[in-house]
Amino acid sequence: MIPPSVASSLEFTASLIAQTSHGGVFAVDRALHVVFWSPAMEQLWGRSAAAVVGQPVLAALPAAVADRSVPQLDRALTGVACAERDLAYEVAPPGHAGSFDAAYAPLRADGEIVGAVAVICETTRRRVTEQQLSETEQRFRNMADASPVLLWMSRTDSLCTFFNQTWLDFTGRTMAQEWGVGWAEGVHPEDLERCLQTCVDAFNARHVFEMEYRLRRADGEYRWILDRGTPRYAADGTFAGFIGSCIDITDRRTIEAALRKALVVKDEFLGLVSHELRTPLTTLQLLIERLRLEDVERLSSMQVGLLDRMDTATRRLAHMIESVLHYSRMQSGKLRVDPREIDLVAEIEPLVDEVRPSAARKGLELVAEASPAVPPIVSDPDVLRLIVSNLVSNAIKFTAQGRIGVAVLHDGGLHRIAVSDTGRGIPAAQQARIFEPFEQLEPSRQKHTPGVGLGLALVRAMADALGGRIELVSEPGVGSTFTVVLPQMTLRP
Amino acid sequence: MMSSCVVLIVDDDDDIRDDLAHLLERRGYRTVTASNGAAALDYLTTAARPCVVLLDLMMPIMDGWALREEMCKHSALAEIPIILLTGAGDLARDVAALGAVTSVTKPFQLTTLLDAIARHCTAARSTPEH
Repeated sequence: MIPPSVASSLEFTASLIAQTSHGGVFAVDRALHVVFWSPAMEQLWGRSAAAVVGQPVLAALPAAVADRSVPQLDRALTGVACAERDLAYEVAPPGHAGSFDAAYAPLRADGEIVGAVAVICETTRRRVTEQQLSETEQRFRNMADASPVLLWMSRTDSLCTFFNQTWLDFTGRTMAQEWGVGWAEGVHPEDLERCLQTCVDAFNARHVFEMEYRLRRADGEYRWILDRGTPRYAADGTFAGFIGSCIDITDRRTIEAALRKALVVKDEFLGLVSHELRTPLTTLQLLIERLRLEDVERLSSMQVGLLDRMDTATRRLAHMIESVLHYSRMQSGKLRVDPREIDLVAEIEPLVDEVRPSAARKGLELVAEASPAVPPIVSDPDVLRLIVSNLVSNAIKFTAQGRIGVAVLHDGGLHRIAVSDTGRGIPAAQQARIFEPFEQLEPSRQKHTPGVGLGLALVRAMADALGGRIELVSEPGVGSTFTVVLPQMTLRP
Repeated sequence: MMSSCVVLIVDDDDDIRDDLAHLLERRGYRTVTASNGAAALDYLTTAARPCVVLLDLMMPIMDGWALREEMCKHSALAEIPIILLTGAGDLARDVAALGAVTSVTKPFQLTTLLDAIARHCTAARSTPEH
């Protein structure tokens, strides 16, 4: 038996260690009897201090643990402190397995070794977490390396610490070469400053960024890259750096440039063609006027009729050229909208008068009407006139008999212009299609109605440009009503 | 009796120029034609002031913009109303840039052009024949 003073000294020292340790602590005397057993030991092995204090340590610890601990305790009793990591153990009930770290040290009283203390830390949970982390890390790397996009990741100090295999294959460089700011060596010198500045700004602001720059590929060719970076945050919400993905957009840029060039060429071509077409058309119209003016008394009624038809055909041709040109202007964004305060009724009336003769020639009744006291509207009168003249000439074109109505309405704070007809109507399935450019209801091989099919595409685009919309109500065999809904636009200062 | 109202037609297309001159003469206007800006400027600086100028923009030797620039250098010429006869382009912008009174897009209805001339040609003219 050890003297009580020594035993209490052993117990006192061990309890001090227990208070400052995360692990379980127990102490033995020189005879390897347990003299101290901390509450954490109770939790670890399920045995209370009352049950084990005074017992041989071999009986106190689970057999698997005792087998590992006793030799180390013996060493500690010779004055050698020692430690072991990740010792695997298995205890009853079967299947309860784990691992622990253990440290052993001699305990002295008055310079004499009187016992040994052990600190035991259960590491099973830590090992599982570490294993899970490593699996997650491996899964991320597998995904990153299998990804067709170039991926990078940076730390909070903006140094890049990860590039996926796709990136490394693309640049033909190693992770060590790309690490930190090594990647910048592959950026085209003309793009480098802008590229770095974008990164720095985004880092400081912790904002998502997007930039295009040229990056040298393994074969030495500079390729245009679209790089999107996003700040990433740890589970506790702290900023952890950035993660970015890049795609090679060289081909896309080439196609876009070609497309832009083609659009310019198309615009120039249309402008040229229209100018060249307008001149002989003007001459044709002037000649028709001359014939009418000078020789009308000498012309037979049939010849006057032929002149009228020539006149109509010339106007139709002029209208088609206008449509194509306007459509082209809208497509290239060159149509300017110039909102002014206008009297809608006064703007629309002359348009109706203009088409009255062509409606009369087809025997159609043309009725213009308006809500009482339509207030002024801020909109673009030129664009409005184009919309209405397209709708009205369409209505006349597609109506064989009956009535064309043009109504200027104001209700619920909105201005509306409704153009209705008693034409053949449009089946519901085709109502969306007719607003597409170059679409007409008749298949082109059986086409009887003139036109290139741009009118309604233009009308919709122009209504959009005015901030409004176009609505269609139509019933086959009954007729159609196209309504332009117009908001108040903002006057330019 | 011919009127004192002279319409100067500036267009490089022979047919348009001649047909237009013919039709306007039949409507009681006196006309002078020029096939480019330089010829028009020649007339403007040496002969009687026209009431209105019908001006095409795209012409060889001196185009419509250059003619207008020259006209603005002489206060007497700068005040003559200009009606643009245009084939293409941004009408509103051209009208504003050139200080024109209005524009007529080719191909145009004769009545549209006659209305425009009548509005801006204030001098008396003889009664039209038809």
